[in-house]
Amino acid sequence: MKWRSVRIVLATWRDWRTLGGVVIAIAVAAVTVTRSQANFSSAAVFYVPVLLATTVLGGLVQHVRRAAIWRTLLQRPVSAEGELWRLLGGGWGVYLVLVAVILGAALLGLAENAAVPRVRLLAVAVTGALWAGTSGLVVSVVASFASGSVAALSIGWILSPVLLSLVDSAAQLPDPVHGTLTFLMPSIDAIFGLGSYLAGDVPSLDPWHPAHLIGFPLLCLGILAWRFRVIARSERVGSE
Amino acid sequence: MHVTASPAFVEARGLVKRYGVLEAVRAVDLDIAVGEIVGIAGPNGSGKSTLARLLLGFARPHAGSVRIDGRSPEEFRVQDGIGYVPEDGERGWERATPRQLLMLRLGDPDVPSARAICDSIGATPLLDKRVGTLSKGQWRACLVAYAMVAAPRFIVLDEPDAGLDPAAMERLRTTTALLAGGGSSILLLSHHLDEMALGVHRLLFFSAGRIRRSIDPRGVGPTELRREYHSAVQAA
Repeated sequence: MKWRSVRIVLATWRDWRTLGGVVIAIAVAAVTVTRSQANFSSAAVFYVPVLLATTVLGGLVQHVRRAAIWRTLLQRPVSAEGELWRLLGGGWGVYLVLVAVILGAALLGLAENAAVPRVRLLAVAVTGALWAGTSGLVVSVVASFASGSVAALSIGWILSPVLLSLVDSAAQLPDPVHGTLTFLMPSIDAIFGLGSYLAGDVPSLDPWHPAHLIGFPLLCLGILAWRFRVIARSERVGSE
Repeated sequence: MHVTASPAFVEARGLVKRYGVLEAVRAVDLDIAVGEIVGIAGPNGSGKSTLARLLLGFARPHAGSVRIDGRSPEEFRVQDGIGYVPEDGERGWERATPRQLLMLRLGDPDVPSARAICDSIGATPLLDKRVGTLSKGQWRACLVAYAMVAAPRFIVLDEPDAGLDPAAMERLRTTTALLAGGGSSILLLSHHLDEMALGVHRLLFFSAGRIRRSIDPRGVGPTELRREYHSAVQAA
């Protein structure tokens, strides 16, 4: 009974045929283009997870938090926190399938590209998978806070490492400050650094990269657990 | 005013709820017995809906407590489930059909008990239509069906009759009586005094965050009922 809500909420939330059509069109374009343009795969790896996470995960969390939806769900004998995790889990399932369709198509085209060695294929696959996970977590956390502008705030957080490097180049930040800020930001450097390492483009991995690859998802899950507890205990219905 | 029924299934003691400087609910005590239908009538903004949300655990009191079957509203809701028709009638489920919502609640909306509720409330012909295409009254009937179809032991209907035609209101009365007969405790909030008087065991007049008067409406005529209501509300 508990998981039935996931299926029904997902089925009735939006017109999946439109999004499915767009995803298939992008997948066809990706498989076609990456056969000749290997660089296109980098763009697909970077942008596709962010856009799909915002559309699927951000939109779903916002939808579920609408009073009419929430009150309907919570009349059933389920815990509010458990329901939030289940619904987010369902959203993640759909999100990962859609990402896999596009990234899989890009990798398929890349595999047929004679100029691309196998090891680079592996690097793109690992980078894509890690980046999809990170983007999904960033958007999930932002959606648990924001009532609007989830896309803008998520992209702002995703781009924050770039801003940090700009700040760093203008005024050298002390190491502890820099380290702390880095761990609060999405692990772009670590993910793409790992990809470069796997492809053999760099001889070794920065020592903080593995820690950041593990630490950032844990940070996001911790924030989500806290936010879901707050949402579950909040007064969801306005005053008369 | 302390309004009691015995044995109490729902027990509220000293409930206070404030929104900023506004005290929406002021030291309310209320008991609802097993199988009892309690009606609350009061002016707009008197705090009725806030009281309903406090009883369901959808709002937290600044003072006082609520126990349902000896448990907190949250524990009761998570363990047993509740029925609730909110006053605002916001849809949110535009793309769903009422049948899908009943499946969400019950799994199989075609079980005889669920069909009986849907037939009784007049929701059966609406089950396969999109929620976004339903009229206000039709959507209200579906909300009532959703709240009642699992026969929860505590049901709060906040103006369920808004937008209902007279025949639908009569069906609503029949259905609430059916559920109360099965042991559900029902709180009904409405502005329709005459209709409520026909279907509740106790009628409470609520004003400025307080229960002002409690009457047994059986045998009370419409004119006397209105006089009682106005004198209670104006005394606030």
